[in-house]
Amino acid sequence: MINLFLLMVDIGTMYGIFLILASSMELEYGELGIPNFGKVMFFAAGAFTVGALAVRIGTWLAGITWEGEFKTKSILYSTLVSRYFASHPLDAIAVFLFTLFLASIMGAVLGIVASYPAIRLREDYLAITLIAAGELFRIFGRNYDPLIGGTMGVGVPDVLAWLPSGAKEAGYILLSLSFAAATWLILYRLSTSPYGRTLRAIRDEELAASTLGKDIVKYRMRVLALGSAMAAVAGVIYAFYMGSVLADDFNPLKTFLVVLMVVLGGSGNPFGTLVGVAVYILLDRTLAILKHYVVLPFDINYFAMFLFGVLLLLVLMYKPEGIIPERPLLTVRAKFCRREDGTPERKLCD
Amino acid sequence: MMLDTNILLDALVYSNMLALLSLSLTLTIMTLKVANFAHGDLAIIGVYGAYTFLILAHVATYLTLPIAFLFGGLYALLNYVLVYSPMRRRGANFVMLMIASMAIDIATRSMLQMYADVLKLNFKVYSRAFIFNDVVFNIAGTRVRGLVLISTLSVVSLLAILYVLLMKTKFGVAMRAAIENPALAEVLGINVEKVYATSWFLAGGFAGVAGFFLPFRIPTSPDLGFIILLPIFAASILGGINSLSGAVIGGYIVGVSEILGTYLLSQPPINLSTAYRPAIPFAILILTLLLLPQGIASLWSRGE
Amino acid sequence: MANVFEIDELKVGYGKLEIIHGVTFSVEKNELFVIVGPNGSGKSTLLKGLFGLASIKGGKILFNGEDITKLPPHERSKLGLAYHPQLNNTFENLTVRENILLAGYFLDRDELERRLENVLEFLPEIRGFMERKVKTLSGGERQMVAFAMNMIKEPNTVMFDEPTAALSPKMADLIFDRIRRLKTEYGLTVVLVEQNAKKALEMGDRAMLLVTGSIKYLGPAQELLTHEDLASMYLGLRD
Ligand SMILES: Nc1ncnc2c1ncn2[C@@H]1O[C@H](COP(=O)(O)OP(=O)(O)OP(=O)(O)O)[C@@H](O)[C@H]1O
Ligand SMILES: [Mg+2]
Repeated sequence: MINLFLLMVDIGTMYGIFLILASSMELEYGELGIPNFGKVMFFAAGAFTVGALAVRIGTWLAGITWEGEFKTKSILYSTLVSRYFASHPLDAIAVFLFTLFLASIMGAVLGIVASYPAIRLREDYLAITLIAAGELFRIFGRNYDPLIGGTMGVGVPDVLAWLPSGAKEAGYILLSLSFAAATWLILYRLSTSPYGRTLRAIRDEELAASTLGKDIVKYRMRVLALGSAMAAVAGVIYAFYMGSVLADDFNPLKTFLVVLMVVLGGSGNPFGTLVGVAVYILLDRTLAILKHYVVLPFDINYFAMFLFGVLLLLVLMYKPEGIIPERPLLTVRAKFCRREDGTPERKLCD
Repeated sequence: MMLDTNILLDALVYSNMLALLSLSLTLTIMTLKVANFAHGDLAIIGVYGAYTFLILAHVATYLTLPIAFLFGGLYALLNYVLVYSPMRRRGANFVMLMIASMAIDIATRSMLQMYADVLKLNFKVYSRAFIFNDVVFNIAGTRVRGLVLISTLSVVSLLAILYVLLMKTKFGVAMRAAIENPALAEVLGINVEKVYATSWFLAGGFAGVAGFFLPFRIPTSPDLGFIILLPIFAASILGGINSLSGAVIGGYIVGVSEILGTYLLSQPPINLSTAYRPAIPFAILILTLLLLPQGIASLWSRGE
Repeated sequence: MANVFEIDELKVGYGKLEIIHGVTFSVEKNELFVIVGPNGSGKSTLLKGLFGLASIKGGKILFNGEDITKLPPHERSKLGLAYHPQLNNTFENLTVRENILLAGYFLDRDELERRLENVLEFLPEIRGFMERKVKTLSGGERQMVAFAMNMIKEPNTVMFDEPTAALSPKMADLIFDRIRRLKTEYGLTVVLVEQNAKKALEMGDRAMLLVTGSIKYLGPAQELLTHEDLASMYLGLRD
């Protein structure tokens, strides 16, 4: 049987987490035109920070001495730390805030590093570079045990353990949704401000933007730093909510799903992001529930992925502007310029 | 730190595959102008086609090689005709085409996963992590593994066929023309769509052949197509993206570096886990993009 | 029916943009019709419209009495209309021979050989670089290749878009000479767009002056050449 309350908690929390990711993708791709296919790497950066630090700091705060390997014992110790947190809410909150702070810094720094290729490479080279970098990041997490327990994963103490059950689950929804709301509002404000218009002008290679010259580099760097910090925050919440971090969870499929949400909702419009994430989550959960009722000759998870792939294709082919299209711009749009060989060029066409 | 011949031969076989894959990726990039992120999957489609035929027909393994070509080719053709061509006609931009190829990758791999489930259910065979058994040929007293021989022969003959097609036939001239300047080719009355579709079929076929050799080396599963994507891209970009000969050479450079590099790094005193293997093509990719963004082809075509 | 082109209120543009604003004119059989005008006035756009490469926003094109307004380029090509584009008119990475063969893609081998001989007789300079890739050729040599590519189709009407742009006077004279011979020796109809207004008008029969997509002058070529205001105002020609 499906527990309705837990289902709602799951939907609400996951909606928040994916809304943060999708908002950051919308900011980078929809507004600025840089498709960040390394999204999962920044998400992982947040989660790995929590995985590596939360249980260690927790045991230190609780005064527990660690015996045995990190890889094999982290789950056990995270349970002990959760028990400690149940009676020490301030410590729990401190661990949450500290890892959140550190993770956002990590994300921003990684975002600045990623802006180096992002400014210079054409989009497909950039995509493979970022995907590969994310994969190496995952492989490192999987093979270097002291980081997040390698193939076993790592336990994450429950920072809301001090809330009574029921309130605790609601707490996670609240946490996730409030961070999501904040992220989305940042996106919305940026998008409707003159700053957002500048970003879209850069995206559309407008004449006005090219007069910005060197500043374009700065704009791209800042947006990638911000977007990546957002993704890291999503990773922090995800790690605490799941209660564990497993390297293999952070595969390129996650990035793909975020792209699906942004394109489905309508890239270039923050409201599209809200809708795109909702449609995905509902579809995904419906399929997960259906799993209990239908018998297929194959795993329904694969079928779900197949549907998502086909859905994205259909949207790209027949409704590329998404469910909620971008509002028409006040400025004149320039033609997307291509070199002879068809690669994009960052200048105006004649 | 001894390099035995087995490792060198493995490097040769792997490079043969990579050369076919990067060559065919380059061919599709030349027509679509965008890298296809589902290219590795074409290899897997090919090998699953051959494997299915093997299960049904119980013939000698190598006889199913043409089946792999056919499956890879047809699937690529389908991709082009059903997705890329209509999208481009509707004015899809670079990034949209690229995202479409990623969507095709997801759909293809999950389709293969479902197919693997069905295969297992109906035939009670390994449908994931399956391998092909090799045969050994005796040539003038030396024992040669079939894989080494056949994969090398395949590369040589496919390259020769492609060369003759492109350089010596009227259709090949039209193909090169349509790739270079589709608008002018259209003016001259060449059916550019047909030419592009043919390129995709050929490219898919080449990828399918490369895929056919996979289970001789490593257990083969639906997701393998995504895993081999990085070395394919590295080889193609190293080759200069718009050069077929560059792509082949890039394939051999990346292939040999990957196998030998992984081997050497896993030996004492470094003892690095072989799991870090993708770091080698990644490093080649990054270095190429930083130091030689036009690829090695720019080294010899600069003078022209 | 003596007119090759009968153009009525033709409007041509790209996307939503209209460049040619309703032009009406005709081109007679075996005439050398010259189109001149300042940069960006829409000369190339008009030719593209006539060949079906730019979108037609209104009006009608009759070619030898047949309405071709909606025909795709290769269909117009079949009717004997040829077009020599201003830019990118050859395949750089192919050899000269391959370029010409490609232009005659639909001919069988014997016919192609026969025509190739004729073309080489008409443009013998090409013989010297048949096997070279176009990207190794000079601008003038390239124009000749593009010329040959059209001749292999044995058209009845050829439209040239600035075939002498950026060529040396000697090379330009050579091209002009061949264009004139198309008309005089082979009886073809020629539409010639030229920056080199003086030369073109001297050898042309009738001329059209196009300014920002509209006709400013239509009449005998010599008259435009000596026209007080128009010649100095738009063509940079003194006296
Ligand atoms: N593909 C295109 N899309 C949009 N606008 C175009 C395109 N090609 C040309 N134009 C515009 O149409 C106008 C006329 O261009 P056209 O090339 O016809 O001029 P032209 O008279 O041939 O000039 P030139 O003497 O320099 O060759 C110009 O303003 C140009 O910017
Ligand atoms: Mg022009």
